[in-house]
Amino acid sequence: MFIFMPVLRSRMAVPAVSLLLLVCVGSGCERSVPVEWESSELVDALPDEQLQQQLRDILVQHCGTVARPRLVTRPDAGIEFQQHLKHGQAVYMKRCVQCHGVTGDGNGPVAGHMYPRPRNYTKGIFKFTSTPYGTRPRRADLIRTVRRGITGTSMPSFDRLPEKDLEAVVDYVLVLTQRGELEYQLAMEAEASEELDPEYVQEYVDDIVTGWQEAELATTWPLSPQPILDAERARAGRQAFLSKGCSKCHGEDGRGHTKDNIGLDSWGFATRAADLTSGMLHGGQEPLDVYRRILNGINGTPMPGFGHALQSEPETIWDLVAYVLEVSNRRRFGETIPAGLIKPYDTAARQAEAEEP
Amino acid sequence: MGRDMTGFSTVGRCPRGRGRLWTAAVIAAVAMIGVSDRISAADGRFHGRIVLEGQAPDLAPLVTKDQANVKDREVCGAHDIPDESLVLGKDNGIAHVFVFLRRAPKGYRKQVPQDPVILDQKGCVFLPHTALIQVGQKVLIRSSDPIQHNVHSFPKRNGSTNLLIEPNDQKGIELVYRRAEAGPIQVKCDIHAWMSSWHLVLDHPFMAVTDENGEFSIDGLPPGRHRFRVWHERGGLLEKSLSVTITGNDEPVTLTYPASKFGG
Repeated sequence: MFIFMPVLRSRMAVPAVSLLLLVCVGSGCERSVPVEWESSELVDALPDEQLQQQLRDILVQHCGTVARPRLVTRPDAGIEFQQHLKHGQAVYMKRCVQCHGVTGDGNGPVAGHMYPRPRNYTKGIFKFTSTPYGTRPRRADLIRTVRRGITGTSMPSFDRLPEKDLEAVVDYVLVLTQRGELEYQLAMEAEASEELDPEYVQEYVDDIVTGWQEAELATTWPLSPQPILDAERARAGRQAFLSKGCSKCHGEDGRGHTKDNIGLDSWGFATRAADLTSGMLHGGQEPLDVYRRILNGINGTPMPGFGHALQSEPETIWDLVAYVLEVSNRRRFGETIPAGLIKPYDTAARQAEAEEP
Repeated sequence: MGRDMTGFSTVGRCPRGRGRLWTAAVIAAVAMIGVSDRISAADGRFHGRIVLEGQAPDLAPLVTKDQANVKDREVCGAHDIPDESLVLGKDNGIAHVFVFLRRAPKGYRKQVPQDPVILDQKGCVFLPHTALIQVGQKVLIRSSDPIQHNVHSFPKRNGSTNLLIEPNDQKGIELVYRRAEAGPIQVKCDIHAWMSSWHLVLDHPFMAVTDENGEFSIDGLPPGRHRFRVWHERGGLLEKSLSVTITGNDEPVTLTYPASKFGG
């Protein structure tokens, strides 16, 4: 206020203040209202307010604040990295926040209108990674997703974003993710133990660091070299699709229009086995993308990894890749896909249905 | 430094000076809480029964024999699949209730059991329905069904697992949990959505799950006051912090919960 004092004393005071107010209203000064990372419901539900505050203080210590974000995995980062994160935050607040929300909980103002929902980062789970099921993604996986977008969802490609912005925004997403992970673990600890012992807090912090470090070294690769994915491979893949368990959820026609094709994902939303004929494979249309979805499964969803089941027959995975690509490209080749009625599972019931007049 | 089966430091048998100091500390500690030092540190036992009071809810089978339109009907529809979310035994004893200490008592030294925990799948049911697992202990997941299942775990601290398991895979999938969980976690099959089981993963052995008659026993507890948690999949956290004083000469207890807690 003391900056205004000399102005207020002058005769110009009233017009100057009015002008300032007008400028504020006209230019949308409300944007400068400081944004805050919100506490999760779990933290708010803790009965002990002192414990809540202690938890929030620990979070600030490890993850910083909106004004000074910190990455749990880089506690010793210097001023340059700090500026890099602030730049990432600026990019995030311009291009990502509408869907993913200020805290990264996937609950931005427009998120409710979307299906699938924007990713909630705060669980540390990302669907389309090059790492095994249950592990964190590599940083490169997140960069790829931002660059490529996710076909068939509301996530656009940010391919034209300058490299500097892209790198920075992904690091800022990591800040939000790791903050979410730590908050969740601390909230569970606080709820169960009714205290936050520094020794255990450090253990949770260490777990986050280890998890992200391990992911960087956990890239999965095909068990056998990629063959030419021709029609013969696709035919073999069709057989495997029916016999190896894929059709149990995706249906025999790959459309997923089966009676109980509905499950829950790790974010609490209903999810279905993909309609492979849609031509929009969310995890990418490259053979390696499809291979990794089959090998590792899809994090946070009911899609399991087939790496264990098919380890002794790695060529079968390539057959399946060939078939999935063939099915998902059918529409592109002008084929009309039948509506895919929901059919009974067991042969007897199906026959009975067919015999009905 | 001697250690008994439960991993606690035992009094006596100390060849080295450093161990002797430690022993003295243990004796002093035991003396301070007013327990005769003749009782071994791990004689205590928390045991008893967990009982349902009132009218239990009537649970229909999840799948009935020859039910139409069941996935993999030849296997999953071969017999009734009971709803194991509430199993009552003799005199309304509740099976599959977890009783556990959230953290090991002070002085406990971790010993990972050598034997793996084996989980099987037969007739589209997880066997057993509940399991106790220690951090670092091998878990072998097998299948005795001639169809595919997927084993999908929902831990809150460890990484999740979701693997397809081949028909009749007796070699199985090997899992190891790295961290203790705050409570039991669910393990499901998404292909056959009714298939569900519950695993408790802790970094100590002071846990039990009630048998078919609702009986449980946690052995090898050091004397003193302990806080137990009691959890059931329908009843949730029945006890968050059940305070029990273990003396080494412990009588069985009966914990009774109203049917309303279990949807009755």
